[in-house]
Parts: sequence; C-alpha cells; structure tokens
Amino acid sequence: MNLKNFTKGLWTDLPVLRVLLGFCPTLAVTNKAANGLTMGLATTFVLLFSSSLISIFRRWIPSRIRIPIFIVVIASFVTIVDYTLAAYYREMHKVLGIYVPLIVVNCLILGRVEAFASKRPLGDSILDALGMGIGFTLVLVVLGSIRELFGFGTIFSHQILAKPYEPMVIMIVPPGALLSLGLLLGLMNLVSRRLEERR
Amino acid sequence: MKDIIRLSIILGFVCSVSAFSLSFVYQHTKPIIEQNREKELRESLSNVLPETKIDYNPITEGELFDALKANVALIALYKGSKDGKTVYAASVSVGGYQGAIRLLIGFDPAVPEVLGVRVLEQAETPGLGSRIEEEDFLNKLKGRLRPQGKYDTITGATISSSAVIGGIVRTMKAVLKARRKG
Repeated sequence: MNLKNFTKGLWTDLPVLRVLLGFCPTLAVTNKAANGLTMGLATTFVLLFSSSLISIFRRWIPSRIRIPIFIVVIASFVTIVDYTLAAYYREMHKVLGIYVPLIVVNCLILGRVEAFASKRPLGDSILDALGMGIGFTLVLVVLGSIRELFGFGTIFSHQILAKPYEPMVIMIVPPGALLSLGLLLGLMNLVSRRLEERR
Repeated sequence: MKDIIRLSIILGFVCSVSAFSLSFVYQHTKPIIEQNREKELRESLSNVLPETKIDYNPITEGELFDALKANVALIALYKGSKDGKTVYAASVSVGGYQGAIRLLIGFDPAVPEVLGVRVLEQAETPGLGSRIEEEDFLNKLKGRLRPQGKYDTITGATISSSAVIGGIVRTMKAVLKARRKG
C-alpha cells in the first residue's frame, strides 16, 4: 500500500480541477453547498464500493467484457444509493433528482475503475477511491459554497450576506456554474504554477 | 465459439448477482419510500384543507370529478368535511416554465372559494420560478375566484406564477360549471 494513492486525489490528480472529468454533476447540482456535499458523498460511496469489488475480482474479469461488467457493478451501486436516498433523505432525493442515476455515466468513476482498480491490489484501490472521492466532494462543496454565497447569500443555508445584498440569480442558474468553475480552474492553475516556480 | 459461451456465462453471472442484490435493497426500501409519499400527501392535504376531516382515498366519480377531468389536467381529487360542509382538494398539473407543476388546491365548491394551495412538485428555475413555493405568494391565492388579471404575479417569475394562477382559475371555473349543472 502506498499512501500516495490517497493524496494524489486531493492535489496532483484532483478531480474536476486537475483531471477534467465528472463535469456533468459538477455543473448540474452545485447551486447549493449541501447539494454538492450529498452528490460528492454519493459518488464517493459508489466509487469506493465499485473499486473494491472490481479490485478483488480483477483476475477473473475477462478483459474483453470488462467494460460491461464495470458498468453493471457501478450501476448496481448507484441504484442502491438512489433507493436509499429516496427512502431516508427524501428532500435531498427530490433536489438531486435525475443526477443520482446519472452517476452511472460519471467518467470519473469508470475512469478510476478502468485505469486503477482493475489493475491494482485492494488496499491501493481503496486508497485511490477514497482520495478521488474526497477530492471530488471537496471541489463540489467549494463550488457549491461560492455559488450559494453569491446566489442566495447563504452557505449551507446559514445567512452570510444579509439584506442590503441583492442575490445574483445568475450564480444559481447554469451560466453561473460555468463562470465560477472557469474562475476556479484559472485560480487552481495559477496556484499550482506558483508552487512549481518556487520549487 | 467456446469463448463466446464462456464470456456470456460470466457476464450473465455478474448481472444475476447484481439483480439479486438490487431486489433485496428494493424490497427493503420500497415500503419506506411509499410511507414517505403517503405522509407527504397527508401533510399537504391537511395544509390546503385546515381543520378538516379528510378522506385520504381519492374519489373517481361524480359531477365535480367529471367537470375537473374535462377542463384541467386532474391527477387526483380528495374529499373532506369541515363544519358540516363538503370540501375538496384537487391535485392538478399545469405547464410551467421548465416542465409540469403539480398543484394541490383545497376549495369549498359551495361558495366557491379557494381554501389553500400547495406546490407538490416543480422544476422551475431555482431562485426565480421556484419562488412559487413561497407562502406569501400562495396565501394571496386564497379566497373567491377572481379574473386572472386580479392576481399578483411574482417579479422575475411571471411565467411560473402565471401558470399557477391559470391553473387555479381554470380549476375554479370547472367547479362553477359543475355546480351549475348539479
């Protein structure tokens, strides 16, 4: 086991901002921090269990039908998440709606399973899935907080910007997602370039 | 040929394991999901028909039901009794800005008067159209039927709020029609 497999998901291979995968849920559900958090946790759950299962059975999966098998495994865990959310977190299920089933086609998950879990031992795969999942969740929460702050004046439904501040509606509709994601990407590139120069 | 059979068996096996575990989860969560839905419906019904004895089984016949069915996209109609009067709650679907808006309208057909309105489901623009869920707006829809222009729409959510108002006006007109016949 190598701890690097965990930490790379948090910085060098940070999902969305460094490895440009998983944009659909990122843009679609981040109008509030809580939505981003739930989406991130749901994705982490699916990624963790799919990666572990596929890593355990990697020697028995014929390479010619590996993609269909990966999809079946991922889709099963997504459906489990979908039912569980509908049963125990009905409000959240209503908000996320169609985007929960769409986790199936999140390239981030298929990408990690194909590129990592199907070739590495269980321990490393778990670390990789956790790192990537937590990194993805962090990005969604940061993006969700920025959009919620300017769009509603709140973060996690706590009032931050009070009355004289007029909420910017553009931040909670899709264009706001693209704008803030673009700015965040730019900031990320700036920071990592500065860090490299210093080295 | 041998290879095809081997691969099919493996894939078939993976799928059946998946199907088996999903059916297990489904059986476990289905009653809870249905309970939630029921509870939500009851809460909404007692919200639009306050202090009313409500029959939670929808009614499917009668003058009023036919009139609503013919004039609006009726989903379900519920009956209740309040201080000896018969009141109703109609769940109707109207076309919003982004998709269907499902409304629950509680009314007294004798006056006719709107007793309460709730938005059951909507997919309007968050922050703009979604403001049709606000109490301030919904409370202003109570009372006797007025011409459509006499209701206040929401600034920035004209289409969504007009859709809600239109749905209420059409429903109440259908109620009037049914009363005239009966």
